[in-house]
Amino acid sequence: MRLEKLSIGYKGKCLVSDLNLSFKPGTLNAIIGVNGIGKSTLIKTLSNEINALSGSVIIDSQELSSISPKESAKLISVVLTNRAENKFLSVYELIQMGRYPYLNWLGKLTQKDFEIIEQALELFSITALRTKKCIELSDGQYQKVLIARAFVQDTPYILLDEPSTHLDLYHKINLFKTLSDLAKNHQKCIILSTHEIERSIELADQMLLLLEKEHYFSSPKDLINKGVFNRIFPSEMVNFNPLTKSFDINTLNT
Amino acid sequence: MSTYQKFTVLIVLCIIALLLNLSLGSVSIPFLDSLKSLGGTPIKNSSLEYILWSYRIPKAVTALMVGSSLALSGLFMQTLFRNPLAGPFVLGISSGASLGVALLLMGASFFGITHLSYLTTTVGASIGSLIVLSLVGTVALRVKDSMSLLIIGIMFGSITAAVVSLLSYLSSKEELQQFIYWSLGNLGAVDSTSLSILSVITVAGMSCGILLIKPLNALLLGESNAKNLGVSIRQTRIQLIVITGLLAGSATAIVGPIAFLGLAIPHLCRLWFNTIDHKIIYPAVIIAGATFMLLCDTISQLPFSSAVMPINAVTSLIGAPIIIWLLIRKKQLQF
Amino acid sequence: MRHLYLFIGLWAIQLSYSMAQEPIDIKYASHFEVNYHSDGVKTLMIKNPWPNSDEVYNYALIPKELFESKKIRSNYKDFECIEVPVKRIVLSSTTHIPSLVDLDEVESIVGFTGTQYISSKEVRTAVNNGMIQELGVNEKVNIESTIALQPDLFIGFSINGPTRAYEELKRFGIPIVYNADWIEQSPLAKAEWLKFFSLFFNKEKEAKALFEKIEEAYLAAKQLAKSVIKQPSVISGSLYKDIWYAPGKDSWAASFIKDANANYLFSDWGGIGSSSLSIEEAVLKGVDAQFWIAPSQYTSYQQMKEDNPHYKVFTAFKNQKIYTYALSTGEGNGLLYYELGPHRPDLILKDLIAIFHPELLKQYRPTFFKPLHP
Repeated sequence: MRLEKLSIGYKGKCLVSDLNLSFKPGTLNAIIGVNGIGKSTLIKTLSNEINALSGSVIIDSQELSSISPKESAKLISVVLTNRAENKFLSVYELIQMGRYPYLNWLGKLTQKDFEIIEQALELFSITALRTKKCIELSDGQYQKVLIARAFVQDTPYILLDEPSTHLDLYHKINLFKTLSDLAKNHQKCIILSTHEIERSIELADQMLLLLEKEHYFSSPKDLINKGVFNRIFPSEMVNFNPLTKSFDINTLNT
Repeated sequence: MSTYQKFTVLIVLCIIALLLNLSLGSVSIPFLDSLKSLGGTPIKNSSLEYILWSYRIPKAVTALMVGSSLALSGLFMQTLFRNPLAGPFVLGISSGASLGVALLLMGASFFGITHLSYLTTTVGASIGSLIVLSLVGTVALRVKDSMSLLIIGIMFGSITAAVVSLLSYLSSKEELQQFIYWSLGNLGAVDSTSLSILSVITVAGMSCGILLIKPLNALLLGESNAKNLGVSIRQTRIQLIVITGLLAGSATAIVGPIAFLGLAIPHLCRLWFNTIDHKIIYPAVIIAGATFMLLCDTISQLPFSSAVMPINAVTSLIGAPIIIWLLIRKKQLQF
Repeated sequence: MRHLYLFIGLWAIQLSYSMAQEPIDIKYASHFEVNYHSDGVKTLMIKNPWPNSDEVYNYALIPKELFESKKIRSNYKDFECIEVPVKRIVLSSTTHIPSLVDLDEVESIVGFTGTQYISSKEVRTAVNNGMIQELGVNEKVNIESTIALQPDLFIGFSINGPTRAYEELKRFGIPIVYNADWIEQSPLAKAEWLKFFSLFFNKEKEAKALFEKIEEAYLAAKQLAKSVIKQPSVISGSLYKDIWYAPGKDSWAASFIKDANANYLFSDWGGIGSSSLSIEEAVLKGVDAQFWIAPSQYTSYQQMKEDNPHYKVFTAFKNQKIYTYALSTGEGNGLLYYELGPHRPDLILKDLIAIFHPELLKQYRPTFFKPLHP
């Protein structure tokens, strides 16, 4: 997925401008930035839910805006946790929805569809939950089910919008590990927006850092060396420690 | 009980309801005689034969068509608007029909029209609901999300209700009484032409609706996710509105507004079949809607007495307690 | 001395009045009563003028000469006093009209509610000449116009309780009398209200003679019908959607069928008002009726066919034996049956006898009931 001179935002307000970069298959890409900087907007633009202000998104030499919804459904899958999903579907029914772009007019599942769903259940260790209604699941389990749905949609690109928000530490780490495995073992290109800067540094292949008037896109190691992480938060409060690769509270000024 | 077993029970219930509806009425027709008549041997008493074939059977067919149409329309509206309180009339169909009928029945005297044929109410209701539906539909094209559409439908409903009140106030006793009779609903006064048209529209509408099962399921995840799965929201919205308009509109035009059924049956089916998958619920509401309508009509005939209850009263009186009971048992609406 | 002359004069007038009165006796009507008093005053009692009422209204009809007398007035202080004979009268229903026509008092009518329904030629002419003022709908009678007419009497009626508009008129000094002729159920009782109207014009003698003629004609017709041995079967009323509305078994309309010696097939239902049957019952009980009278407002078989497909199954429809009063209109928009019918039950009865037993009344020209148009 290539972004060329991409500017995103809403009518009258440009949030991020002139993005020029490529997301490669088999990589885990994290989008970082403070609240309101445009992370979710970028995800929505890349998933074709809203239009870009200018510039273009190119997938496999096609312009995203010219691809029909049906075709783009086979290229991009999206996991949105802050939307009210239907909790009365069973786990199996929800995951099954991911096969939608490939089913016939009635929505009949074929052998291939069954297989890929079983594969997902196993991969994410949720086979035992298959008949439970989503409302009975914990946040962590629910998260896995949503990713499983994106997985069965069998798209080269998977977008996630702040997927770790409601999760405890264990599940946060689990999530990132799962996504990293997905990228490496299944050649998916994963793009997620997140606040988990430290997790991203550890596991992401590339990071897109969105700041007030500029942005940086490179490997975590490269970004550390450039000292960019210090630019995210006000330095009077927070400092980035390149050795521990984490943030420290600035005690010098107290 | 498996889903197949539940379907079997539902179909059996439907058949029982149909037979009950045909056997019970103000006049007593021996059950075996009616069965034989259905099989081809006419009843000896020609009046009873006439009553069965020219009154009870057309009434039962009407009940089947109207019950299934309204239940299916209710399902469409609930899924489209992600709102458990939506019914077939949220887009203003019944208020449009009321307005059309009110204008013709009560406004006719203003225009000097004296003799009104039995088709008056059908024509008035059709035109009325068509106009309101197109107005709402035009707005549907300009509005981004379904919630706004829902609110607009409700607003149109208020406007038409106000106009109807005004007309009621200004009209004579007889005109007002005629209008009230219409609004109470009546399954037994449908002529054969109207019934044929109703049947054709119902069957066509339900068949075309099958193509919408897949997008309906996707809509369960919300419009954003449905879009990401490849559903064209705008197209699906329009298709659902058109089919609902045809199904609920034709039913209302011919028998008057029937309350409650479209709202309650989808919930009942979802609760009983324990799923929200439209592949199962779609046929379920069709059969359940027909069964419920048949049962209500049988009750409204108050068998073995001369009196008759208006169908609208019966649907609400029977339906509401069932919903409440089910909710208490299951503690939560599946939606 | 002057007082003495006055006293004697008064006494003489009273005597002359009480001697000249020909007291009426009421044989059939049950909602009004009259008493003649030695002081020359007649008292009229109206009982239960609307359904489920316990109301009784007492009126004292006092001769003009005695009206100012304080003594007389004090005798009747609990009555509503009306000066008679009345010269300017307002009526509120077409059923009141024929009585005044027969008593030759059309000139006294100064106002009417709903003049468009009047069938009587004579009264229509008076309306067209501006002699009778239109006063609107009975329940919402035009107060100002009525007061401007300065009538001596307003004959009103109500179906469910004292009419508010009437109370207003009373405040302006216009006497209102509630007419209850429409509640009477027997044909002769309704017709006897002719005598009620005669009270206000001091024409009791004429009324008595007229009524006797009507009574005689009615009873004679009834007797004639009795001679037939085989009763034909009859139904009445019509469908609205899938409910059949028919006269109840004790109703005024049903009495005629009985007195015409026919079998009313819907006599298992209802009381004095209209009864409703389901279409199933109507078909089962009435499909084989030989005759069908009064199918509500229909005027032709075509109209009935278009309105409801179920009519075709009735024998009376197939054999074209349906008779309606909807084709008999007078000079106005109203039906003659509603205006003249209650006053001339003998004509209604004869119409029906001519239909049910044509051999009894050859060459008969019906007044109300005519065959339906094709």
